[in-house]
Amino acid sequence: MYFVSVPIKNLARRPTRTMLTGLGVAVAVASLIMLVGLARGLEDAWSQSLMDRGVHILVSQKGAVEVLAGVVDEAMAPRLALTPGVAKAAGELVALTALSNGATILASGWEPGSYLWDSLNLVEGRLPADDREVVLGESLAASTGSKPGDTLEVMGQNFKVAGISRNQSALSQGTVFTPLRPLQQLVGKKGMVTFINLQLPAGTDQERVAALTEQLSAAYPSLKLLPTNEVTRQNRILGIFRSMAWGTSLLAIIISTVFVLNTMVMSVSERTKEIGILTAVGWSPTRIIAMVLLEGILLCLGGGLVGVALGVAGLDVLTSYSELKTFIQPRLTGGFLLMAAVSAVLLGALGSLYPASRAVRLRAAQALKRE
Amino acid sequence: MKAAPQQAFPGSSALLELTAVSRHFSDGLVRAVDGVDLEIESGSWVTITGPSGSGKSTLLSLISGLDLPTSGEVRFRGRSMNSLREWTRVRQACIGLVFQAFHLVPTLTAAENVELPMFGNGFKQALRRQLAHQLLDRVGMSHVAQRSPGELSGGELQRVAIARALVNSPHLILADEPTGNLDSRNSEQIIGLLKELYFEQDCTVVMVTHDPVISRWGDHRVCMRDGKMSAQIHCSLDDPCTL
Repeated sequence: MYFVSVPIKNLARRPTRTMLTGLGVAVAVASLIMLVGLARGLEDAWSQSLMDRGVHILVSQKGAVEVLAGVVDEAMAPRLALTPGVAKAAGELVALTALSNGATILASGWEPGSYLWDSLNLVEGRLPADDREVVLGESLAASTGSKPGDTLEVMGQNFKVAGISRNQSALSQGTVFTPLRPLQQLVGKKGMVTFINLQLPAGTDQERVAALTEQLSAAYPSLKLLPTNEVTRQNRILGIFRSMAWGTSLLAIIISTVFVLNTMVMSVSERTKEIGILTAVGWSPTRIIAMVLLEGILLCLGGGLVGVALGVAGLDVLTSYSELKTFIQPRLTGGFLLMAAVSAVLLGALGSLYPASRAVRLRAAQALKRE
Repeated sequence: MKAAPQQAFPGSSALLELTAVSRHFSDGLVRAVDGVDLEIESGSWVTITGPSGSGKSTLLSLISGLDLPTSGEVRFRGRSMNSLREWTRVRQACIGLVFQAFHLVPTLTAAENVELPMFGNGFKQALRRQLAHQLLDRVGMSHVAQRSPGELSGGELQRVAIARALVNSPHLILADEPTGNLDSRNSEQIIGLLKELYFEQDCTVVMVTHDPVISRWGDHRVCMRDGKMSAQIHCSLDDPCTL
């Protein structure tokens, strides 16, 4: 018999209790993976959409609560483009809108001839030839059943689908790309854009990007300039979403720890006499504590692994078959999944510490008298 | 006749020495053991007798370090034993315990129960298993090695418990009413087995018993009454104790 056999047999003694506690841990780990995975997915979709367009610096309104809530004069784009070190500048108007089928989508308005149109990877059709034509992200085209030549109603106005684009970002996949003017009219922001995308010459390093950001921030104090890699980190809405995801997950883990603590306290109390036997045959307090800790850790490791599987599957289902598909690009790294499994192990150790210390507190002579 | 015991420490053959040992409960209202002085020589067979509630089992708990005295001193091989942790080490290395209620772990098989005392002495798993099976074979229980305690009879349980007590080749075997839950036939067999092992293993046996027949056997008999030692009779194995 190996040492680990003892806690395994203890867990097998009460299979229903073990399974229910393991399930509690699994739900906590799955919620951690799903909620944090969603938050990260949203951030990834946002930053990937910027990367798709080759944006290095995002220029938005200073003081706006959120990038998407601000407005910038579209005339700023050509001025910024003249700055040494800036290769291209293009204004972009972004609006959230609902389609006639109820699905929420993003509408992005771009100036005709803007370099942003070049970032679209057309798989069908062509770029818009006039203000009445749009390009659809591939997911959006699939969900609306649209193909080039069809008509799509956006904010009460009909547009002709000129082409369909396949981009890496989930956000771009669910976006309708329109010419700037009609979108400005539809949202009542004539002459305004949500932000300006700055592209720097190819091969520009992060140090140069940061230096130019600083330089432009000083030159245009009414504007907020952020390097692309900072955009998601400094976005307040994403920050709130991220904090809520971690907060909710932490709560689930705390509740789960209490489950484990309760189970282990019961388990140890039921086995007071057996712990007395182990002491009587010469097991040291350290060995007994190790046995109880190992029992809790094994319980939570099992639950944690099930939770990882549930979380990955749940996130996949959530982002494949719901509206979230338009905005979220689920990305679960091995490191994050490992962290989730390790958190389950720590949860097991934490929930077993007190029962383990209780297990060795009683003298063997008293423990052996317990029924 | 048993060979002369090895000396426990230079200049003395005492394995255990109890000096004015008391164990009180409920703030001194219950004096389970009260001022007992006792010396147990290495290689001896000692029986502790007395009526129920006289303090025999409590005394055995103090001798085995399952409990600590309220006052007084217990010395094992000349060393004063003051902590439960120290007793645990001594029990693991030198003491085998046999209980009236057998005290086997119900989730483990007979062989696994016998393996339990070997955790901590550095034996590999294969060696632990081999030794457990050897000991079960020695007590005639090799056929129940893979059975759980719930599937064994009282006599079988006690034999497995004896195998467990012997697995680390202890210098001292402490038995608390080992036949208390057995019928007369099984009782005789268990005592017979303990006697065989006593002669084979060159160890010391301290046994608590109610049974007047069993208590006559041995070379040192201690009688307890109301927590005190009421009589201490020295005899020889050739000339058993009689009161």
